[in-house]
Amino acid sequence: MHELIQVLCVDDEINILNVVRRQLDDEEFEVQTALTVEEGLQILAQKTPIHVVLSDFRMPGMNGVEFLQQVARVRPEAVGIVLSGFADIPAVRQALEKDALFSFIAKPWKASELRKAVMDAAALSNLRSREEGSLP
Amino acid sequence: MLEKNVRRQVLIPLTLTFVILITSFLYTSYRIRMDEYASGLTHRYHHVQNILESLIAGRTKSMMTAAEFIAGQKRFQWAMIAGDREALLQHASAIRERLVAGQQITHFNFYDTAGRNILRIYQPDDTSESSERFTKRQAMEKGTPVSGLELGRVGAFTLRLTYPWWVEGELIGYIEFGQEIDHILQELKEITEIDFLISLDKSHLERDAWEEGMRILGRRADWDFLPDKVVIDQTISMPASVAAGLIASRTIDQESGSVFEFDKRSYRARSFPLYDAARRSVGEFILLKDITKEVSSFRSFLTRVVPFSLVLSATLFAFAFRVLGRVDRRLVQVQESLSREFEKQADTNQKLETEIAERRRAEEKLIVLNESLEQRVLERTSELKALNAEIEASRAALEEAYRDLQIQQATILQQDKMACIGQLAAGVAHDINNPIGFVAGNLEVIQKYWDRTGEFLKIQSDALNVCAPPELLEHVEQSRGRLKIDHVAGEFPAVMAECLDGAERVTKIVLNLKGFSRIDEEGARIADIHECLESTIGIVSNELRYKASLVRRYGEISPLYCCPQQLNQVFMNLLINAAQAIDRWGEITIRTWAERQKVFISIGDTGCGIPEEHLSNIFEPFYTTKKAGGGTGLGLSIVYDIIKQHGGAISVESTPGKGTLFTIELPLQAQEARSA
Ligand SMILES: Nc1ncnc2c1ncn2[C@@H]1O[C@H](COP(=O)(O)OP(=O)(O)OP(=O)(O)O)[C@@H](O)[C@H]1O
Ligand SMILES: [Mg+2]
Repeated sequence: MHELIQVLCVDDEINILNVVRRQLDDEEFEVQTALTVEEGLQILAQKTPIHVVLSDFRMPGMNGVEFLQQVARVRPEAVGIVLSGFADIPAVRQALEKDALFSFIAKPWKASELRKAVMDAAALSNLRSREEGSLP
Repeated sequence: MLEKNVRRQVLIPLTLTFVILITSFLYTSYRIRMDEYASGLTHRYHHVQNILESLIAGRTKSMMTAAEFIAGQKRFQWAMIAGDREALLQHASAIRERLVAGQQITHFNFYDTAGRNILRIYQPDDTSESSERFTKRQAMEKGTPVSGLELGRVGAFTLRLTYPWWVEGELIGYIEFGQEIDHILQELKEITEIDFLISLDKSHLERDAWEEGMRILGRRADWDFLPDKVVIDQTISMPASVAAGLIASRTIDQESGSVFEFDKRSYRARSFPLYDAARRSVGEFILLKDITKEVSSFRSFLTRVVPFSLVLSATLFAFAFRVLGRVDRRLVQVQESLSREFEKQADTNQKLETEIAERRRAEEKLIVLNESLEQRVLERTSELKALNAEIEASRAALEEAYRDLQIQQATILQQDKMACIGQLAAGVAHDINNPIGFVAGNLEVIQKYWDRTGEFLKIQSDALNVCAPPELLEHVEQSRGRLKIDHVAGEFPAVMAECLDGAERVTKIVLNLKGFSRIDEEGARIADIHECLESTIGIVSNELRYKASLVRRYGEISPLYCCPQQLNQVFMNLLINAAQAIDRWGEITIRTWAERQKVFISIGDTGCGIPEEHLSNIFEPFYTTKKAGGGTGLGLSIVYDIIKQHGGAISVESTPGKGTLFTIELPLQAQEARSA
């Protein structure tokens, strides 16, 4: 009766996308990947549910935090996580403080670390969608 | 003119000399004569006086004898005591002739004890009181016989003796004798053969009495002969005018006396005062000497000497005149030749003078020129000096500016270097993070896949063991051996671990690089010093690894408000210097501790050390002992700068050959920390 955790991962580096998919290819997760922000937004536009959005910080066209802010407008129940290099920390920290994203993971990361972060984010997402459902 | 001059100059003094010589000679001989006469006169006077005195003394003595004789006669005594004038006259008349003839006693009187006249033997009828006499008064006062010359009213000198008549200690009266001096003078004239003249002051005389007296003596009496004096006796009769001139002569009472002439004869005269018994000056005794012979002999001497000396002088004069004439001529000749010479010389002189004047003008011009030149040189020199000073100053300023620039440039270079490293590190970190991210991630995936594969293989072999034929089992077993599957399975965890370790190390390097540059951070913030130290160590570990073992003695220190990036630079410089100071192998010790609101960081090494004399230089920019290209000499100066900006301090202790210890102190409450 387990509902799969729907994860969207956006990164301009295909290898990162592959690793993330491989690390999350267990029963509970279903991972969709996008190489660009636009692709990611297209996936989000489909009616399939997305619980967690994993985004790189540095991407052509738009940075991770900006992207997640857009995501929040389209899918308020989706919880954002930033995968970041150290160089980007100040901007990410600012976003964290504004509650625009749930957490960040520094590259390189540990698989266990990633799984835990995604699980926590999914739990939050569930909470958000239930609140949303009861409200209208 | 010259001729006259020479003659005058020589002849006038010469003539004067002659004149003076002759005059002084004549005068001297005249003076000598005069002195002779004078002394002769004085001598004569003394002689006369001696004789006169002895004459007077003789007379006085004979009068005394007569008085004593009478006083001793009893008959006289009785007559006197009795006051019997007749008896006295009778007795006296008996000896009267004898007295007059033998002794020329012309006065014979008796007085009573009160001095009153009793009897005048020569004029018994005259009983009038006799005039007051000095000798009588003296005798009455003293009670002894008194004698002396006394001037009578008639103008005759009388030698008188008053004899107090004592009988058996009682005074009974006085006996008086007297005789005219005339007699004595006659006698004197006879003895001395001199001429004299006696004059008396009219004030002591009565005209009638005197004229009578003179008539009695048979002499000429002329009362008006002289204004204030009368002549009572003279051995040479001379006219009144001569006598008056003589007496009035001023020099007559002086030693040389006065000379006068009359009747073709020359006389020398000298006067001596005449005194009576009372020592009154009553007139003069003028001594006369006939010098006619001497005068004529002196005259003849003169008539011989003067012409002789005149002739001699004239001869000498003539001689001198002639000689001088010759000299004059010579002089004139010389003068002429000289003047000719002089004229020539004058010409040359004239030329010379004009030349000299021209030269002088030229010299003056030169001096003026020189002065202005000097002035100009001086001005120029001072201008140059000022310019030099300016140049020097600007050069110094330029040098300083250049040095400042160098320092700035070097500092900028250093900071640029750091910034570059930071930027590079940031870029590299981003680029490396992605590959490392998927490498490390895939490694984990491989691990997962390996685990799963292992699990499946175990299930497979278990299934084979249950139902597979023995040959197949044999084959599987052989393959397992050939492929060293057991070995692979055993090695796999180690391979994985090593791969993961490598990935982790790369991650760390990138982290350090980033952490060191802090390019992504704002300047000042609260930072952990230990973190800074560690990131720096990470960066320089390659430098340290082959030189020294690093010893960390970290104490409890609280995070600090600072510029971590700059402190990293400080630590890096100190650590690299330490490593460079170590020749082969040593130890670098990092200590941290907190004390009194301050944080201390010390970095010590066991390197070569710093000589004491260089300790003060090491913080100066560009001071380095490293060989060219080895060091910029800026490291420690930047360190010093940064620590100062943090309000801290840095100190150094060093023992050459043993090692060096740098100690940094930073205040916990930094006053100002510069932003990066
Ligand atoms: N730990 C030390 N032991 C011995 N000498 C030292 C030490 N630290 C500094 N010095 C001396 O001080 C000098 C100045 O050091 P500084 O760091 O300013 O310049 P540098 O090291 O010569 O050049 P750079 O830092 O540019 O490489 C050095 O040349 C060295 O002689
Ligand atoms: Mg140095």
